Amino acid sequence: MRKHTITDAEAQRLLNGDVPDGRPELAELAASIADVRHHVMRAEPTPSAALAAHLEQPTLGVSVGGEPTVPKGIKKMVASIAGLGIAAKVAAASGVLALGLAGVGAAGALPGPAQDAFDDVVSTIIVTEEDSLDDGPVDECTVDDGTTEGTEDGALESTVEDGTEEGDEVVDDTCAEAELPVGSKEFSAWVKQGAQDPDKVGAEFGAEVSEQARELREEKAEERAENGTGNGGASNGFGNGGRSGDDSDDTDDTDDSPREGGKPEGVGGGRP
Amino acid sequence: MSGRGSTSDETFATVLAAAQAGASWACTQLWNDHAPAVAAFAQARGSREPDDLTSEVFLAVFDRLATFRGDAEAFRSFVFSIAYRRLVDELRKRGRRGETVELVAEDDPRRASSAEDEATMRLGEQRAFTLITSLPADQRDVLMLRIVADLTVEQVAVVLDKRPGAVKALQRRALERLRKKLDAPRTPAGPADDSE
Repeated sequence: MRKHTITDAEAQRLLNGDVPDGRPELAELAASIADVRHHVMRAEPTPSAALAAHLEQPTLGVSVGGEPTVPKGIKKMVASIAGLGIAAKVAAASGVLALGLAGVGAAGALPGPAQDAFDDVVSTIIVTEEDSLDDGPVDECTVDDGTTEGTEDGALESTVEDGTEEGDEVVDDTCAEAELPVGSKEFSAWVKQGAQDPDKVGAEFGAEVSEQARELREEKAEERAENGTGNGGASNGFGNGGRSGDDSDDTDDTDDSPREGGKPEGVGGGRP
Repeated sequence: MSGRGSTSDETFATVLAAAQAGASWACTQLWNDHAPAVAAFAQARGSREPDDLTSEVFLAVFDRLATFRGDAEAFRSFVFSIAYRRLVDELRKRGRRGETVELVAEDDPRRASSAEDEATMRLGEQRAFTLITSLPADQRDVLMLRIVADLTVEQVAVVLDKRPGAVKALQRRALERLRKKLDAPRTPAGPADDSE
């Protein structure tokens, strides 16, 4: 009597191309399946150029498109920047550089509008700083004083040239801190704290940061202008070996002034 | 059997470890062992560019290789899981933008088959292939993965994201359907129909 159903075991044999025991009527089916296997199986395919390159030189951790794997956070930031206009992109790029220099890494976590506003202010500072880089480290400090005019000041440049080696490292550190008001630790802490505050509204906080940074800069410019008229080149706090003791004091003053100005509470009155 | 057995379980672990470490020979070995079956499956399931699809599959495989853990059987399931998803993507994309088939003379059914064609594709094979491709999609998936990819029921279940029982049922129905088609009285195609 002919069976009408195919059991799992019989199916397994059929799929192997064998005829199940006692089922001669399935011989043709088994032969057909064997033919299918024989016909469909083909020679080794030709690898694409990308795969051939990978087979030549396997690269671990590389995504399908050959692009390196990027952390999600960075991808998100890049994606958000990509959606901005050209000017905003420039500001954002400058902002990223400024954040790295000023040590305000946490500001990268600001919401988009806040980051834009923040970057807008920071980028202006960076531009003036870049202009001064060619003129030497002391000029950077001069720039930090709020005037790009200092870069053209021959007296200041001569002060640098007269500088002794012993002051070089101090100069760099001093400049790094004095140069960018946003780099002051207090301001950084304030921005960081604000960025992590869930109650802060992104756009409003961004405007707040922007305003505060602007005020900081203006205050520093005024202070520098006042100090610059009184102390002349000594306000740089370094370079004149004959006045090293005085210079160190001046340097401290120079360091402190932006810090005081950079304190959130110090500028707090300027907040809207 | 397709690629199974070409790399034994003992050596597979060595090959896998080497490939995960970035050894070129090991990656090539994995390709040689599995690519023909992947390309065959892709072609049998209707991929227009089975070679390209196979390359994409292996780029994805190598991309995720560092995180793979398992034996040769698990690796085969892993490869065909990716292949199946890529194939579904291709078929879905084609379905969305409409089927555009490049006219190839050899594929024209009105074209009389030459002696060479007859030699390369015997009538029995052609009939069997036609039978397979005439199955419903889910049954065809199961049979192709069982026959061409040489996967077990459990592996097919993993690839298709179905229960093993469901895979067995699909397999049984597919075989029964094929048997009925083979048992059915055959009518010659084309002009022969008109002559009768």
